[in-house]
Amino acid sequence: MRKFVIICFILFSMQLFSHPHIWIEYAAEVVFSEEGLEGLEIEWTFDEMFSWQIVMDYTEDQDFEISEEENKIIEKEAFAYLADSGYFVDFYVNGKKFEVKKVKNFHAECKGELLIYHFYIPWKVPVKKETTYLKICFFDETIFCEVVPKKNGLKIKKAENISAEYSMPDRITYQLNFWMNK
Amino acid sequence: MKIIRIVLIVFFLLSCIFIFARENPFSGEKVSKTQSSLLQKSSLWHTIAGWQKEMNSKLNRILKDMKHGFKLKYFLILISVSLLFGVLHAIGPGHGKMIVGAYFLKEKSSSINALKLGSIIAVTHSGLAILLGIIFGIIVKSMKMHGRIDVQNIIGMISGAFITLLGTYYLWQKIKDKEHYHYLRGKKNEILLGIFSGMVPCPVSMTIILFSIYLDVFFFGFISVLFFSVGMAFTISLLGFITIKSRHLISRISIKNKQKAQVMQKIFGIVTSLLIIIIGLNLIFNRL
Repeated sequence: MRKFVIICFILFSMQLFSHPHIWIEYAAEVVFSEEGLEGLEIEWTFDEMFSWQIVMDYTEDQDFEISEEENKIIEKEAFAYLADSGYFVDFYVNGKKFEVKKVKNFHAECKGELLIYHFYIPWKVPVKKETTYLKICFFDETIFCEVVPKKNGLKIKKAENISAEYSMPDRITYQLNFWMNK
Repeated sequence: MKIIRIVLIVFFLLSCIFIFARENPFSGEKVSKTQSSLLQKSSLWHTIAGWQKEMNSKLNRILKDMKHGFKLKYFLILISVSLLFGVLHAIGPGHGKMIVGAYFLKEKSSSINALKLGSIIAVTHSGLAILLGIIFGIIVKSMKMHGRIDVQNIIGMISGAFITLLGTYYLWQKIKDKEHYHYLRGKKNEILLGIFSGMVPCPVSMTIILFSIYLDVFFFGFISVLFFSVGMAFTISLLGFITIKSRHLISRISIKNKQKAQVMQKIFGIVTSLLIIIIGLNLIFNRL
């Protein structure tokens, strides 16, 4: 009987696990200047099916070549409104959460039959003598997209006067931790 | 121990209220966020999602291979992958599983009913996706992603309205203590609930159909979605089966005291009817 209750427990709780319909592999470059943290260069690689849908819908020749004109259409029709989802990134400074509201330098390209989005998130955090703890989380809270880190996808552009230590994202939390000081 | 069992089951039933399937963030609509930090930290969730990604890619490749002609080996892989994909895909929120849970907690049913309701939901869910896939892929080709999502949202709202009405009807029956009503009992009851719950078309099935139309391998896309539905029906029915067994367990716990058992059954009926109404309203307001 106890086993049965445990099975019930597991199966009911399995409802917690969502069904992603879009899969995104992200790579990130964290950019520091002498003043502190400047922002993040982000790269998203989509799954084959979603890539195909976007290419079919928003490119004229449907040939996995994206022109400047098509790039603008994709940005407007299949990217800009992700601001409502914070572009699937959450920032924390010493534990305080900041939402991403603006991004720039959007660019879409295809590698093979995979669609890739590139964009930059400006996020200025001035460096101080005392250590600042920065946390960056990548996750779609609507659980419609599964956002996972790309293998060896993390790069750091350091500044000489800043000491920035970091821990790599693990498979479970997918969060970057930084400790920054002068 | 008895109390712990009841608390566990009720807790997980109620916890599911907050874990509905979410709307598509690519729809361009304002999305509601959920307290999903639990998912973020769950390695099981990421593992299941990772397996689904593999299957999604595999289906993409097999359908492309089918374009070059029929091969039994590829066909068998297509069937197996679609089946397994369906089983895993239906584990997530949505796909009418909460309705199934609430429905079978509401009243006494047999295991066969779980299989029937699960199958009706899965068939409707994928059937409508096939139909929409054909419409979008052949008839209104010009409709872009936003347009397709809008159509899905409208169907979702209609589904929500029907579920709310059905839930209100169940609630009314329970409050009035009309246990022996005949109009919507048995088969009809399940068919209606199954259709209303499965009405929201599955985006995965629709993408497979659209992709197969584009590649000119519609038949194989159709077969893939068919087996995908069988997989989903399995998971949904399994949940129904577990719910029925859980209900039996709760009934047996309180069987010694007949009066207590009746009160408990009535409370369960009312709570689960309310849950069905909430699910219906959520389907409507999530899409407004």
